[in-house]
Amino acid sequence: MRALGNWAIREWGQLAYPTGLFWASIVGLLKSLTRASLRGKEITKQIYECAVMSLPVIAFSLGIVSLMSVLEFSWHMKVVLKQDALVPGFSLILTIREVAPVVTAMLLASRVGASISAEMGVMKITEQLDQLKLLAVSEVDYLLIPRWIGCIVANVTLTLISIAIAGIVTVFIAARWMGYQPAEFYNSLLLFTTGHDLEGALLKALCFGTLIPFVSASYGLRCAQGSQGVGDAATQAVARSSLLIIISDLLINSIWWMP
Amino acid sequence: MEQQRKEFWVGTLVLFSIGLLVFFAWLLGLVQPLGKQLHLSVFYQFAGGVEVGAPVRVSGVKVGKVEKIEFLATPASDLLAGTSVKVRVGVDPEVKKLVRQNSKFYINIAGIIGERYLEITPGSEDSPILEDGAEVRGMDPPRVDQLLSQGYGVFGRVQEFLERNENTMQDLLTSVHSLMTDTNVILKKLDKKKVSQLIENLNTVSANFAVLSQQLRSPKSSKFIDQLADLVDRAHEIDKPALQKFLQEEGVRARIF
Repeated sequence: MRALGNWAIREWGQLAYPTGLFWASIVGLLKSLTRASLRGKEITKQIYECAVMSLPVIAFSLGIVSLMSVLEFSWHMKVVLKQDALVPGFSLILTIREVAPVVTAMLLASRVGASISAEMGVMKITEQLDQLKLLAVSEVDYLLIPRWIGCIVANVTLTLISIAIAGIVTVFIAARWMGYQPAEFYNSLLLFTTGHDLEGALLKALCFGTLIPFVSASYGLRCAQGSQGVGDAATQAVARSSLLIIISDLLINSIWWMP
Repeated sequence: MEQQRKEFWVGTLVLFSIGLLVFFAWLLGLVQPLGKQLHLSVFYQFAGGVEVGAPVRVSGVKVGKVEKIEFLATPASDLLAGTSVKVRVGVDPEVKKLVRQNSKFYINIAGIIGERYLEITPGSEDSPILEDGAEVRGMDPPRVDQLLSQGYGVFGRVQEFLERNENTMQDLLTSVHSLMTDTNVILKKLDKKKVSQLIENLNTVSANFAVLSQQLRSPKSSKFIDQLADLVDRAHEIDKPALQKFLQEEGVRARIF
């Protein structure tokens, strides 16, 4: 029982700390907007690091996932229905609703989340965060808000690009291996997809883009001393971000798409 | 320089993403930059499983989608009495001229998975074009569940009738079978040549009767029939004493009546 209580308190702390950072960031962002004191160069740098630098790996991964999903759909539908006319429609709705936002966020969590956590962890153990406090500079305003904006912009833009890449890859596969003409492919591409699905994908991108920097920063800002501590913080940040992405994906699905 | 390079790439990425977003939004019907859609409210008693986002087609071509479905507490007008569902649809501006007052609004099924869609038949040129926000009565789709239910009822009654009259039905079937067998035997025994001859004779008789009938309708025949009728009338006036007197005057002795 004591162990259970200990686990519950620890887990609550793991959620409460990033939530506190999130609210502090909202307040800090509103203040910065009213004073027009956003750190533009730092935000540009973070968008560049998160979005531009992550684009090749995300584009490649989404291309492969789309390829696999189309071929799998085609195989299953040929087994069950003896034809694969609906594969483009199924493939696109799966890409928009799930694959593009979730895979993009997972890859960003492992690439950017680990980076944020390690960077902040090093700043903590080298007492740079304490120096910021001595200079009366808020770590939230100085470090977190640019990363938050960078992650949101990166996640939204990369999700949209992922959807486009998935579409292009599926057209290529359909023309190359499934015997479709591109026009014929497009006829069934939008069979099941509506604007509501695109809105849901953007909502997911916003949520995941918010979740990654705060969870990662929460581990970095509380990391233990030494290189071991920084390593653990980065590992924990990636693992916890990925887990929370999956849980929040389920929650958004049940709110946004379930009747 | 480094900062400028980063800003260029970030700007390019953001601009490209905004372009993609607008393209997807247009592709999925969230925005219509090329013109204002025609919005119609179609009323049904039974919507047949059509859902929000279902395609709307004119002459089989997709031109819009179902935007909203809502239940009605009371119908909008007397013309729409009996309806319980309002289906709001958006139609591309290019087909506005085809959607007229006498257009029909069907709910159909397409594809191997039974996708529902709303089909609009083009109206005739003399019918007025429907304005934006017009309310029209849709053609309720056939209720397969009701048909099945009624079919079950009919089949049940037929089954009950057959079970109740099993012996009678067996006798009837046996009699019909026997009749058919006998008829078959008779038909086999018949000489085809004689039957053909008989039919030929009947044809000849029928033709002769036709000629006779035609001759009877001629003026000569009419005159003859009139004279005959006159003769009969006069013959009625000849009674026993008159006939005896005539014979006696002629010197003939005969026993009459």
